[in-house]
Amino acid sequence: MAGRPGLDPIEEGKSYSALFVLMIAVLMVSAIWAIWDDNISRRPWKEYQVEFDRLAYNKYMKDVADEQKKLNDNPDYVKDEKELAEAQHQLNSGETQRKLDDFAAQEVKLKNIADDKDQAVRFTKSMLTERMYDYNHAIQVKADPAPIWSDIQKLQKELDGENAASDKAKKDLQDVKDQVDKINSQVADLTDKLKVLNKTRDDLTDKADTYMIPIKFMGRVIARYPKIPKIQQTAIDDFDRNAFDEAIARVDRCQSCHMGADKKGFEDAPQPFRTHSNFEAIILKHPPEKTGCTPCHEGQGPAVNSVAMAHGEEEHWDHPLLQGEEMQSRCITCHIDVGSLRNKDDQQIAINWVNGERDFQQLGCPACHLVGGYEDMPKIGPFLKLASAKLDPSWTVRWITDPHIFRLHTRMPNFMFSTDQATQVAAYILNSSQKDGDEWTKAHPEPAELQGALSNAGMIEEGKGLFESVGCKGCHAIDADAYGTPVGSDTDFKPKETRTTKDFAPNLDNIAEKTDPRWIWWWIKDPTNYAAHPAMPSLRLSDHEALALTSFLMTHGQKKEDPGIEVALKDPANIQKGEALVRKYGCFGCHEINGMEHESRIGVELTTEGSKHVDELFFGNHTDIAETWNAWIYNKLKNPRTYQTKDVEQVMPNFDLQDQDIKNLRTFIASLHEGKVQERYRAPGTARQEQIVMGRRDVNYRNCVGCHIIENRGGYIRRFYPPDQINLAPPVLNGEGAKVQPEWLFSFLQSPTPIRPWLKVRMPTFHVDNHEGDTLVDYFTAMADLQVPYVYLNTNLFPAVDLEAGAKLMSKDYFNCFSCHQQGDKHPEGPPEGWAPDLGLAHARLNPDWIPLWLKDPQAIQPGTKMPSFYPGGPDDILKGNEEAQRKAIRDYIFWFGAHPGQSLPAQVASPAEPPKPAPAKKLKVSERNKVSGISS
Amino acid sequence: MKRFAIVTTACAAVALGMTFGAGRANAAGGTISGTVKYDGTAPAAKTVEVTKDKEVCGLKPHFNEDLVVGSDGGVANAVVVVKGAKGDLKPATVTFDQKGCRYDPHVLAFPAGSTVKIMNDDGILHNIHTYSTVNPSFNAAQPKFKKEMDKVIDKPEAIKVTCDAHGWMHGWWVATDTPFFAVTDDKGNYTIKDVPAGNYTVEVWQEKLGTADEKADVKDGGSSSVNFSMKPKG
Repeated sequence: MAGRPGLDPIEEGKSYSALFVLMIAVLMVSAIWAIWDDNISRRPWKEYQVEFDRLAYNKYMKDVADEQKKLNDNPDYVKDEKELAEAQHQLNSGETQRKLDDFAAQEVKLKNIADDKDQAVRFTKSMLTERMYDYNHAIQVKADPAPIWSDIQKLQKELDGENAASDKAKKDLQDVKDQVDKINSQVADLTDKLKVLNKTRDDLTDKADTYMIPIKFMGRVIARYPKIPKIQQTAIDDFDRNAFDEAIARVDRCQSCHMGADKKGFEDAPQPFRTHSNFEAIILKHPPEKTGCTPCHEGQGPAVNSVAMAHGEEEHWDHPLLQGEEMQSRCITCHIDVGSLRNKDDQQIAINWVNGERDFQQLGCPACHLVGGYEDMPKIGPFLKLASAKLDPSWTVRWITDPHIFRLHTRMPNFMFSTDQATQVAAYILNSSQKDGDEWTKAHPEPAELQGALSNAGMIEEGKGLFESVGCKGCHAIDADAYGTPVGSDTDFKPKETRTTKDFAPNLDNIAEKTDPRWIWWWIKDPTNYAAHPAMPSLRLSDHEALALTSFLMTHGQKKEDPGIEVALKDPANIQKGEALVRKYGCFGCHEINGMEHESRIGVELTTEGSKHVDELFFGNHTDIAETWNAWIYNKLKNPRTYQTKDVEQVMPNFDLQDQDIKNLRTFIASLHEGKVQERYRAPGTARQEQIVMGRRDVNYRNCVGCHIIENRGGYIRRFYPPDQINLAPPVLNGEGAKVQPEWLFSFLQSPTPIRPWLKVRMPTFHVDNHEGDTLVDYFTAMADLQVPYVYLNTNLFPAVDLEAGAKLMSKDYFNCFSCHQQGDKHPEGPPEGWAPDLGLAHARLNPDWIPLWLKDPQAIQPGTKMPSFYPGGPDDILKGNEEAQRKAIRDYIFWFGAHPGQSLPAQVASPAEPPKPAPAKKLKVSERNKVSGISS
Repeated sequence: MKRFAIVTTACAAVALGMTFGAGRANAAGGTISGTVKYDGTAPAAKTVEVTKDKEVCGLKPHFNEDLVVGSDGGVANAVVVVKGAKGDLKPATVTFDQKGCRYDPHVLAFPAGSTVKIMNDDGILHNIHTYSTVNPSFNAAQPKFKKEMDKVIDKPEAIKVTCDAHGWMHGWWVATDTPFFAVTDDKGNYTIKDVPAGNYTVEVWQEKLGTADEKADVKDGGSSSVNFSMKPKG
């Protein structure tokens, strides 16, 4: 067999089919692998979606079943359902059908008749028109119209008859139609009624159908197939900036797996399908289709190839998923007032951040570390410019060596000084204050009766009583086992077992070891006797009370002199070394110290600490600490000098923080971030929010919560009051801004005057200046969300009828207000725990808009108050039983008698027909208010 | 024929009688009764000082009613309930009176869902302040002109009731989750009738002494005696 010329017969004779088949097989396998890899192994989210679809389908079908069960228990539903079935059955039954057929036949017949009659009418009408023409024509041609007229009359009569017949035929037809409609509408009406009852169930069924798509045959579902998985993507326009500072979109695909996050009802589903926590506050206010997920959660938004990639938990991705409380560090990027973000149960959402921020202030972090926005925090440590007049030298050295030995829960951190170093620091502190201290001592002699009082058991007892009653315990404890106001986390706080939770104010146990009675006397009389800007307020103690209290305090502890210390403290070399140490360790951050007035902060700036890259963090010689930002901060706070090496010295002192505080602080530090969010994505900031933030800082600084509950927190002193005497504790200040007049609050803060003089606990004088007073007033006003807190009422314009009604309502026969409320100097009957504030002061103190609200439901404003609700249930015989008018009348009368003490009610005020309206309930803008009161700006 | 009729009637009557008899025994169940005694020295009655509205409140002396022990050791105002006994709750309207600035009765027990009719004939301002955890707390004034006020207590709970205007006035409302309950009289005696047959735990509660329980075996038509001895708390 010869081949074509030029071809190699041997080559031609070979068979490549095996290779061919093999190659085809390889190609096919690789093609299948490519498809598999592209669609399945690189698409783990598809499996999640299929799983979620099944989960959601089952859930909604279960909801459908539950709803059906509910419906079956609903008598309306059962009744309608039964009627519908009956109606339908009847409709389909032979008899109804026959009836309908019969009606249909009748309808045809009647329609023919009606049409015939109608036609006859129309013919007759045409004929009439024709005859009318003939009639008119006859008149015009002067022929005789009379015969035509009689024709017309005949036709007219005929038409009337025909019209009647036609109407009757139409009516007969309509009757038959109505009957048919009636039979049909019974079913339609019932179907409509049931549709309303079934709506929830049918909606749920529709929802279930979107997850497992039904295949229907003759209206019945015969099979279902799962939805085809699809990437769920949110693009947030212009959210980020690229390296060229151009706006670029952020893309999040998190919901490709986290499919239940934005749906209610999956609260118990396993992750990644669970409903987002705090659903109302977070998801409803930040819909993921608009805001995405990574602005709060971080992670690698667009990545979907694996869980680790999506969560950004891989090398070279700088923003791994935030866990637990870490998320709270992101609220501040869009919200000014993070502390007021609350969930539906009124709990703070960013509670760890809020606690961390408070720790940050109260532990004095900004004293050494510059942080934008926290530059001007007051120094939190005691004033040391007169230290020599106050401190026992031996104690000072021991204290500086390790403050936690003397006072377990002090805020002062441990600088881990050697005894020598501590002696040097003490030498500088005491020496630098010696001259001024001596002068102070000269100017503040010991009261003559002091020595006698110290050994007088009666005075000591009296002092104890004062300590326990005037309010010292709002801040201070005086027993190693007890605590005052805690700083940081106070959950499971056990003073003896843990030495980590801090006291806001010193525990005064062993106070006599630290200082002398002369200093205590002058200090508690008024701390401004000693320090220029003391954090501690004055309780306005009389000389005698101060003596008693000093005597009591001096029974706690005694001096322990370390021999030779005086000499060491006077050693110039020690003083010199001490000065260097004070400078190096930055004692002046928290304390005012002579010679250190111009020093600047010694710590690193933390303004953008949260965006520090892990490469910028120095781990020292540690190999046991994970190389993450979180781990670095945690260990830094736990043991501040842990990253110290032989050649890198660290000076940060140890605060001995408990774990929860470290985590809270870390959350706060993480929020010190340079990442900026575009204006359009931020929550609109208002001046009110800034006032709240600044005011809250001052509340923290002054520890108002030691005595008062503010924003549902604090009131630590309340635990010393038995439940039936809680009325004698300092008031709860939730909602204070709406309750009192700002002018009153402003002057009260500067110079408190007792509202309830029978209380033993006193509102102290904090020596707030105008600026601080204003900050606090703004804070309370802003918390109450009042745009204009000022309301003015002209008591001379109250209608007499109102005043009479008010007086009557408050009288013994009606509400008997003075059964509990004080009237000027007249106490109510009974013991003080049943007394209530003097209503004569109310006009200058209370917001007039608040009084009617308070009268309406006191429990709603202050739960547990002894003030009972008089409404609903006001008397019918006053102001025609109009309860709102009654409450206003009481308010007016209270304002009137406060402003006109001792006067009897005005006789019927010469009032115009329309009684003058008491000043505006309407709130005016500042400019308008000025106009009203004649102030020109 | 006539004889037949008489026999039939007689048979029917007997049968009917038996049915009725059996029915009554079933419905009646048994009775639990007994005494709550104080295990300790009876505290002397303490007078309470009337500090306010003396012209109304001071007409009769007031005594502290936290713990009233009779001469033979019986504890008054203790609430005894049969736990787990089945029966309709039957909410009722019960009266709680303020007479001369004293609550009458000091302890008022009723099935949950009942309406408390609060009366004030004193002609002065009282207020009813309840300290609830399960039901909503309220503090409602009852001025002179409001002689009657109704409050519904929906859920079972022992609720302390005080008057803030008259610090010494306090009492208790005990809303029970069972229709089988009683409050002890001055001698500490109580009787609970018509308890369905069965084995039960009978519990007693007293505001000062806390709770105690005993077992009871109730038989139809029978009566069982359950006595308690309560020690001071703590």
